[in-house]
Amino acid sequence: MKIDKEIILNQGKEKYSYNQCFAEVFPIACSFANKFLDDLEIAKDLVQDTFVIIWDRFESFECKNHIKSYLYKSLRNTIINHLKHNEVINKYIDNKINNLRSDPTFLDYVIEQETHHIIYNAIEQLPENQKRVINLSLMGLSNEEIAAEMNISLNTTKTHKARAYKQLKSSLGNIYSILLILLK
Amino acid sequence: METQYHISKLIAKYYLNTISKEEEKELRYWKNSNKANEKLLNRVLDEKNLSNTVEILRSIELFKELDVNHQKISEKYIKRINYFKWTSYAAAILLLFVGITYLIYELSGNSQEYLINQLSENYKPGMNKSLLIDESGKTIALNKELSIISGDSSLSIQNISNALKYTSTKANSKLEGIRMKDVYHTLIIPTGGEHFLELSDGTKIWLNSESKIKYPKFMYGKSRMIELEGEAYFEVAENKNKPFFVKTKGVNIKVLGTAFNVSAYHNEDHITTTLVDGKVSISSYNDQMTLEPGYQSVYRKDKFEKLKVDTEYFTEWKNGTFRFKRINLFELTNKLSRWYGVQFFFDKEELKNIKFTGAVQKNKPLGNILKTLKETKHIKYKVSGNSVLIMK
Repeated sequence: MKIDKEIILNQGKEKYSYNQCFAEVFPIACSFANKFLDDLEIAKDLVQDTFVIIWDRFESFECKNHIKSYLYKSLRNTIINHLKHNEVINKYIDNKINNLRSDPTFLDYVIEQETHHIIYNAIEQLPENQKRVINLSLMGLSNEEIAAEMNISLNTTKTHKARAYKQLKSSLGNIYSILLILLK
Repeated sequence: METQYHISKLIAKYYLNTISKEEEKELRYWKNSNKANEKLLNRVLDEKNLSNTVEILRSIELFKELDVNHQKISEKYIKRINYFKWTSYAAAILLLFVGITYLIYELSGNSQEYLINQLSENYKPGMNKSLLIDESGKTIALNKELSIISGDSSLSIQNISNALKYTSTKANSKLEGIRMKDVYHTLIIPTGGEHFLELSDGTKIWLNSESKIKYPKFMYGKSRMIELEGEAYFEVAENKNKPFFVKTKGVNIKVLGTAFNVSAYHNEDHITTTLVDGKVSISSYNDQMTLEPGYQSVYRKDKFEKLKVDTEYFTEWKNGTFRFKRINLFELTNKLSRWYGVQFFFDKEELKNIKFTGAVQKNKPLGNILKTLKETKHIKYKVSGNSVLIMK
C-alpha cells in the first residue's frame, strides 16, 4: 500500500505531498498540543491520530494554510475530548479546557506557535556560523561580545551577521499587507 | 485563520529584525488596537517561552514519527478492508473443524457436499455488513436501521437493511447558486455483501460485493464526481447542469443521463463498462471512446475494446442472479469468491480458460453451482476449509 500521496496547489503550479506536509507541520502541531497537555508523548499521539484524518482527506485541500487550519481545529477538538475523558478532572484541567474552548485564546495560541515556528525555521536554515551569530545576537549580545564568545574577529562577526540577515530577509519575504484591510 | 498566520509572520520578522517600515506600522497598529494583543505580543516574544518551543521542535524525530504515522494509516485502512476477510477466515477455520467432525462420524456419507452447503450457508447475503465512512473519518457499520439528519437539516440519511438513501430535504433552488464546499462519504461493501445506494440527487446505485464507492454527501459541486473500486450498476438522475463522472483506477466515465454497469476490481486485469441506456463517454490517460446502448467497453493493458453485448449478462447480478455467457472459469470463480467468501485454486493454469455459459441464483448455496460445473465433465473440485481446488 502506497501511503504518500500528492496534490496540486495554486492552480496547478505547485505539487505538495502528504509526507512533505507531515514534515512541515507535525513538529509545531506537537508543540501546540503540548501547551494544553503538558505531556509531549500524549501530544505526539494525538497529533499522529489527527494526521491520519488529514491523510484520508488530503485530496480535498486547496492550499497549505487550509490544511494547517484544519489540523489546528481538529486537534483542538481532539485535545478537549482527551482532557474531558481524563480520569482526574481538576481545576487546572478545567482551566485548560476552557482556554481551548474560547476562540480568542485558541487563536492566540495559534499565533504564538506559528510565530515560534517561523523564527525557528528561518534560523535553522542558516549555515552553522551564521546561526550561532544570530542566536547570540538574539540573546542580546553585542558584536564585540559575539566575536569574543565565538573566538572570531569583529569583521567576521559583522559579515556573518550581514549575510544571515540577507538570507533571513529573503526567506521571510515581503508580506502583502492584508491586515489593515482585515481590521477595516 | 489567515489573519493569525499573517500576524505570526509580522511578529517573526519583527523579532528577526527583518521587518519593513510598512510592516512595522501594521504590527504596531495591531498591537495598539487591543490590550490583549499587546499582552500576546509580549508572551510570544518572551525568550523563555520561545526557547521552550524551540526545544520541543528540536526534540521531534521526524523520520521516526513519519514511520509511526505510515504504520497507523496502513493499520487503519487495511484493517477496514481486511476486517471482513479475517472474519471469513475465522469462520472457515471453525467450519473446517465442523467438517472434520462430520467426516469422522459419517465417512460413508456425501460429506463433501455437506461441507459446501455448510460453508455457503455462512456466506448468505446480508451476513456481512457494509461500512459507511463519513466526512470526519468515522466508520459506521450499517448493521441496523440508521437515520442521520445533517446539521443544517438540509439532508437526511437513512439505512434500512441493505439500502442507504440520501434525501435532500430543502428545495434545491435554495442551495443552487451558493457554492458550498462538499464533503465525501465512502461506502465499503465486504465479501458476500451488496448494497443499494440512492444519492441526494436521485441517482440510484447498486453495489456488488467487495466494492468501495466515494461520493459527495450533498452534491453541491459543479459536477457530480464518484470514485469506484469494484462493481456497480448506475441509474444516473439527469441533470444537464451537473455532469456525472465515475472515476475508477485507470478509466474515467463521463455520464450523460443513463443506466450502465461498471466493473473495476483491482484483482482483475480489465475494467468493463456496459451501457444499458443513454450515453457515456469513457477515457483513460491515453485514449477515449463513446458508448451507445447495448455496447460494452473493455479496458485492458492501456487499450479500449468495444463489444456488442447482451447487457443483461452484466447487470443481472443486482437482481439476484449471476448470468454469464462464455466467460472464463477464472472470471467466474472470482465472482463466486466475492459473493461466497471462498478462495479458488487451480490445479492447472489452463483450467482457468475454460469457458462457461449459464445462470446461478445468488441465494442458493455454493454447492449447487459447483455440482453443476462438475456435471459439465470439464472439471472436478475438492473443498477444504474455505478453499476450493479446481482440478481436471
